[in-house]
Amino acid sequence: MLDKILPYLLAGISVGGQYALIAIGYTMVYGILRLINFAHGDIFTVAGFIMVYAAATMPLSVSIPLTIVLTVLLGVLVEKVAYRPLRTAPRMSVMISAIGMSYLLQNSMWYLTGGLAKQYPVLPWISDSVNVAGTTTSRVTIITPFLVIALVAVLVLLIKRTKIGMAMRAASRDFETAQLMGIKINNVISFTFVVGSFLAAVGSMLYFSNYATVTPTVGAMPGLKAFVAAVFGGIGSIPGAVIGGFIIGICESLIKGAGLTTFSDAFTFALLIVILAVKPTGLFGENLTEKV
Amino acid sequence: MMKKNDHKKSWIALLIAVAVLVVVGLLDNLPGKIVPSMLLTVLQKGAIYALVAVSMNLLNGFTGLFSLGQAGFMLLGAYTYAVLTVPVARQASVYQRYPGGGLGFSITESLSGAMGQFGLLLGVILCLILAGCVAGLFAWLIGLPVLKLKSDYLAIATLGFAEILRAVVQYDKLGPVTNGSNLLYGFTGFTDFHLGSLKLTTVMPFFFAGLCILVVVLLINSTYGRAFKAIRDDEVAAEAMGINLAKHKRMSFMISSFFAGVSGALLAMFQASVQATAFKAAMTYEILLIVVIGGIGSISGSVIASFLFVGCSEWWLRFLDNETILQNFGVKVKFAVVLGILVVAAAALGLWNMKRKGKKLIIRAAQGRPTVNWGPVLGLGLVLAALLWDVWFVISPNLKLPLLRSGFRMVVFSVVIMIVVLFFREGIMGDKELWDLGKKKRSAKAKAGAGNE
Amino acid sequence: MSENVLRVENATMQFGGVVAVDNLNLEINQGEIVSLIGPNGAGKTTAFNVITGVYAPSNGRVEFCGETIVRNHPQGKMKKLYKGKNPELYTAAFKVDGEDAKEAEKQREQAAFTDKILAPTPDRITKLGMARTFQNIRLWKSQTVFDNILIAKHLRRTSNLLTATFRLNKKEEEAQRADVERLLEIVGLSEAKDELATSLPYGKQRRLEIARALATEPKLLLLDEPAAGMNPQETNDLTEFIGRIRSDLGLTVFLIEHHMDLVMDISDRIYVLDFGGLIAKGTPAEIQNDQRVIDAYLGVAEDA
Repeated sequence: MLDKILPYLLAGISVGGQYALIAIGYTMVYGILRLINFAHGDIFTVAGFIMVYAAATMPLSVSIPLTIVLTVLLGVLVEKVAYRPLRTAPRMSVMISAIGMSYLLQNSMWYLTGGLAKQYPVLPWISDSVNVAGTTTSRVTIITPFLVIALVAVLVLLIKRTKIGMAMRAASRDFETAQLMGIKINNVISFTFVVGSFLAAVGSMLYFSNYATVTPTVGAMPGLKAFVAAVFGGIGSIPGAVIGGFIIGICESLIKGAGLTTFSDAFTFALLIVILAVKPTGLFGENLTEKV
Repeated sequence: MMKKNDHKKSWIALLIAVAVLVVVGLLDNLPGKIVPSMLLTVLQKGAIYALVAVSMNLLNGFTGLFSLGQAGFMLLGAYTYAVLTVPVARQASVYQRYPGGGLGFSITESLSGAMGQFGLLLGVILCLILAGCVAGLFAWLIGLPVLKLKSDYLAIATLGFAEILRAVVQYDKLGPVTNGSNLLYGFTGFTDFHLGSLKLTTVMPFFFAGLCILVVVLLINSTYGRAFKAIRDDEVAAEAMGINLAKHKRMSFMISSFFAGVSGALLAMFQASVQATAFKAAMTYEILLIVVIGGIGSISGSVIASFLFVGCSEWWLRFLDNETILQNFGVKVKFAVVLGILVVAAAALGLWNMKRKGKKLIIRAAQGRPTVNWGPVLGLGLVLAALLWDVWFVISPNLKLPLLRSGFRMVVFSVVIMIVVLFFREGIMGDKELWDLGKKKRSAKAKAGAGNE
Repeated sequence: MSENVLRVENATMQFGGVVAVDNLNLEINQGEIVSLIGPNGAGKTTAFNVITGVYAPSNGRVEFCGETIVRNHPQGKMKKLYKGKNPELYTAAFKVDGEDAKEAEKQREQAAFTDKILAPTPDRITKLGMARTFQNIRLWKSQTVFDNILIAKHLRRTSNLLTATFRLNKKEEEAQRADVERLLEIVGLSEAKDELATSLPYGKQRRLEIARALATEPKLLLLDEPAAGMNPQETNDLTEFIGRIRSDLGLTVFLIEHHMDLVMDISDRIYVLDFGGLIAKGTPAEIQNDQRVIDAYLGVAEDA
């Protein structure tokens, strides 16, 4: 029994960790801007393509940092172009802008790559096969959860202990008051996008090492699922996003294992609807009551 | 006191509708190749998209519920329609993966067999209504848990629901009905309609979509439509004034889904085939962008934007997807001039928009250094660069147009959409209607009111 | 004594650990103008929200025209957190003891046939005949003055979705429009009927909100600080206006207000709230001389 489940469980933990990394980006942006950054999943895909092209001409020691830097720049640029001008606009407008940005990124990638699936470079060591309890799997599967937990620990320290972290917490509690207290809100938001895009870039390396090919729309689904993970854990909460990511990854993988692959995506969204109906604030979300 | 005026208006509207149908019918039947077939495609698809966009606008623009489930409800409508109308004789070949699949009857086939063209029309109308009802029924079901949610949660939940539907339809066990993930085809389409020897291929989508949009317009201007708008403007006040939020939101959601279902069925008729994979979130996004371009809260805006959108993506911008080599130097100069004019026009439009909003390139504060408004300055830089490039292109010996290749159309398209979203947030019509344009006085006052906020 | 319109019994509203309204008891009779006053943060608006169904109270009962419309008792999480009085009064388990047995028995009879909670949404309470205005004006921003009032007539419709869409309700629609014209006349906004609601000056917006509330055909009108932000002249006009609609339309009015001139001028009775609890009630003259009220408003020296 266990030896049948184990490979799916391992795969689930691994993909769950990757969802978690993307979910943090969603949850942090939502925490501060109250915006579902629909373009986040596409930034994740762009990171994949940058890596494909970079690794074709440069050694990995250059292309990995380059990928991360360019992805971070793209994330900040998206914020500056598509979200900053709409700071005072109604929330619906900003969300539409996010959807438009996602559309633009997908179409641009299609144009630049010719719409063909690209082979993701093999990252030595982490793509190697290893044997765990009688199952063969790639090392990335094993590494992912540990890497995720390490990164999250650093992130939590950053938010709890540093000045910019404090500013972020203030901004997510009350955007306007934070601004009045002299916090440079634009810097805080840019920094949030830096962190989110950085984690998306790392997530994309782990994800594509497992899936091997990159296409322009491949990020849409993991993006949405990561968002579901963020909602599941309680939007705005980083531990929540991580736990949500793992839960969704594992469930999805087990469902695939049960032979219901068609429903693996549907399950995630069913879970979303159930959690929204039962506890709209998610596992670790806070209750906010509107004043009349 | 308003009665006479109202009657006059209804007559004018009817007259215009009949005139449009006649013109479209003429386009359908003109001999030879006078009418480009692309025009007919754009008209057909545009009419259908207009209906979806209007149905989405009813929800997003008039009730203030941000839902992203439109593709899912279209899928339901399309499948309901297709399953009900695949002719019995073709069911074996359509459902070849699922022997014995199919319903064993076809509503349109039976009715047209009994009553000819009239029966066909009756059958199609019946099936369209059924398609809408199935979508509406599912909307009711999903509305129970999700309509209580706030804006973006509702958006993501409805988006998720559409994805669930897409998965369920492709489920193997449902194969005998839905044909799993395979195509459904062979069912009654627009080409089956004709009056004697007159083709009605383009008239029918106009007729159906127009009728549905008319119903939506009537609804929006009724007491219920006013209640929807009250919910959009201020939920708390609406509830305090006795408007049952749950009931009215559900109502709006179900009506919107009903028409999305109908338009899904119309889309199936237009395409002559249905496959679940086409009804992705991207489809909903496209419709949302049409609504935004037309103006959130404007029915006529949605209709205009649909035709523009479909026209651009199917026809006018197609050339961007083809690699093009110009014939000679003369053509190149013409091209460069047109491009230059377009760029200058875009810059002028941008500057005009800035002036309208009272923005300046360089902001001189009372104290301290003047700050530069980087966005527009950057834009002007781009315009200059484009003009310089234009000149360089004329001088250079190169005859091949740069950038043009497969996929460029969509990039240009999405850039245009982003520009609309960022700089022309009101879209084409804002929240006004074509038929309101005469009432200038009121809109001027409305603007003054908006400025006060 | 005339007929009772509103009776609030032992209403307690607790948010988490904070008791915003503490065991509030009040009643309002037909044709009265009653004011609820108190320092900022005393829980006046919360009390309004409990009465109109925006919040379900943690405990207590609200009766409107002799019928119980809201009833609740602490339950779930609130059971442990509850800090107010009479936690079991509105449950079936309520036991009668002590000296007040007779009174308690009476209350129990009213409440105990069920411990089911009653917490209708605001729209249902409005439909019963209670309408309100808001402290921070909540007009429908994109609608004209006329439409703002017309929409409030929606709840008295007899048409359904189909008859309304296909214009089979012409008569009703015309009657509604005529009624709106009449209301506009009453509040003196006929001139401005085609303007956007938000383009009106502040005082007129307040009047429009009252007109909108009147359009729901209420028996009881609740006004939440109707004179907030008004100058003395406008306040005078408003005082006169409220008196007029009471006598012309046979309304009962319950209002929250800080302008003492208005309150003392117009009120038949006054309730004073401080820290969620009732500290005084009576006629304007009684309230003006009540030591606790003076203390609550002016503060008490620690060692006095």
